[in-house]
Amino acid sequence: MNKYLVSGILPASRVTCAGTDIAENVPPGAAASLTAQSSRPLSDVLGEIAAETKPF
Amino acid sequence: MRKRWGAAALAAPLFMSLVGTAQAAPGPLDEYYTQTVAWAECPAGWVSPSTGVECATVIVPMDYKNPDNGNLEIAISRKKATDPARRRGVLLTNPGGPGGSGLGAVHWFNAQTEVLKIYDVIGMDPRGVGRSTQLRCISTPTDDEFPSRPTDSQLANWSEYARAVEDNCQRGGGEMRRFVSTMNTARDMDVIRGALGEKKISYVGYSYGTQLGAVFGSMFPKSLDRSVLDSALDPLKTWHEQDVDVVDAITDNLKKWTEWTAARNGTYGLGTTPAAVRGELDAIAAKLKAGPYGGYADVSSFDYAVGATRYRRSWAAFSRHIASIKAGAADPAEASAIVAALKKGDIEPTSAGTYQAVTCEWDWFTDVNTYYNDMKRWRDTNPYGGTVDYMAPTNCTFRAFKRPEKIPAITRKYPAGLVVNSDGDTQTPLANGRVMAEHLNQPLINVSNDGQHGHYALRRTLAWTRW
Repeated sequence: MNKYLVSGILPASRVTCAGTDIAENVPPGAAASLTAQSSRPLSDVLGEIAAETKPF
Repeated sequence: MRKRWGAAALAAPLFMSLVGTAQAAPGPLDEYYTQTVAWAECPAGWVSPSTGVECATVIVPMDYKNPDNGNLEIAISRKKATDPARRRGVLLTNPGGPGGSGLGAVHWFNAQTEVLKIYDVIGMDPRGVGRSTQLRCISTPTDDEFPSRPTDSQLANWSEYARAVEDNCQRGGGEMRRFVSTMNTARDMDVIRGALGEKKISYVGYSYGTQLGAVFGSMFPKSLDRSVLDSALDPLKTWHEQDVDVVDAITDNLKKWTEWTAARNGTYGLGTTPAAVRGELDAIAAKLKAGPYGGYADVSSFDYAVGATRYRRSWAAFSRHIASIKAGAADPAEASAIVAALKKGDIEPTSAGTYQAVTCEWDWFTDVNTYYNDMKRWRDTNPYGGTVDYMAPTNCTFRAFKRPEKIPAITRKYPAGLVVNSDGDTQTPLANGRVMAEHLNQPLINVSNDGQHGHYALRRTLAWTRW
């Protein structure tokens, strides 16, 4: 499970930045057609991202 | 009053008065610095109505070296600190662009109660923008039809368009145009500081707003308290040089996505090597040259959609999307929905004229062949994600006005602030933010494995604490 990570020169104790998953876990070996049907479409993910960073 | 007020300034007499007791600044600008800011209910259309949000207009000279040369209005908004006993001062903001409207900034920090407690949040439409005195261009037909993979003979179309934009902006902007600059906006910010009776301001700027913040800090180091430069530009490079960084970032994201997908061939079936995964994209693009395919009308829209690889969170969905096209099972409506969603995430259309004036502060190559050579190189190596367009001539290639001043050397003689960038961001690549942080000797936060543009206080999924 990947998380957003914060790096830089600030001590970790002075800043937190906890985020959502980079990408959902995909069952190993699952057929592409199966995952395409059972997971969110790309347009949904992109729409969510766009809404998150308004006003940009 | 010896100033010659423009018609625009006279249009809003209820919002300003040049008689006041705010912090004084000596010299010919004294009357600007000491004007009284008359806060009132925001006029309809300025900012989403909300309890406690007020608006005002501040008057600034168009030309700071010659204040007699007319005035401009600067529209500002405010949400007062909710814990007056702990109030630290004002937090001035800028959304970037250049040319983005900032009046809505009073709502950006709604999830950041600590910020709202101690700061009066101030939004601003910079000079030339929105509810401030606008800089206008005569409209030029859109360049939406420009292909992502132009033929050599089509390259001149970009020049023709860019030259027309410059000509129309010059005719539409008139005398005001050369005074719409980062440096003059920084001066406006200091006038606002003075008019608000503040010794210093704190500042949050996003994207181009980081350049504005860095310039403000360099010009007015004694006026700056705390600062956050989010999604920062490289203060040592020209705008075009940073466009080269953008194209490099787009390419790096694509490379990383192919590596990620190749490592999951069992899931997506797009190949076991990055080259094989890239080959699947190229195969789709080749079919699109013959006509609509996979829900895409043409190869340009597909190339644009591949720009989704900047967002790490979208990688799995993008891989599934490509796999579905390969399998001939793509939802025909999905392609257009992807393009629409990506455009939604792009920078909002900027106020006509300001972007086309401010970006001309930097030096630009004047030989169109310099651009054409780069356009051809990216067309032939990585046309995905809009690379060719980034390398194209802009109106600044044909700049028709003389810049009154150059961008000052960026220095920091004020308290260290914070720089925030993310890897994967293709609008302000991490490499740019790293230079900003190093040059200003400020801490850098990298939101890693990400790709988004604009983070501090805005993103619901990121929890910011005091720093």
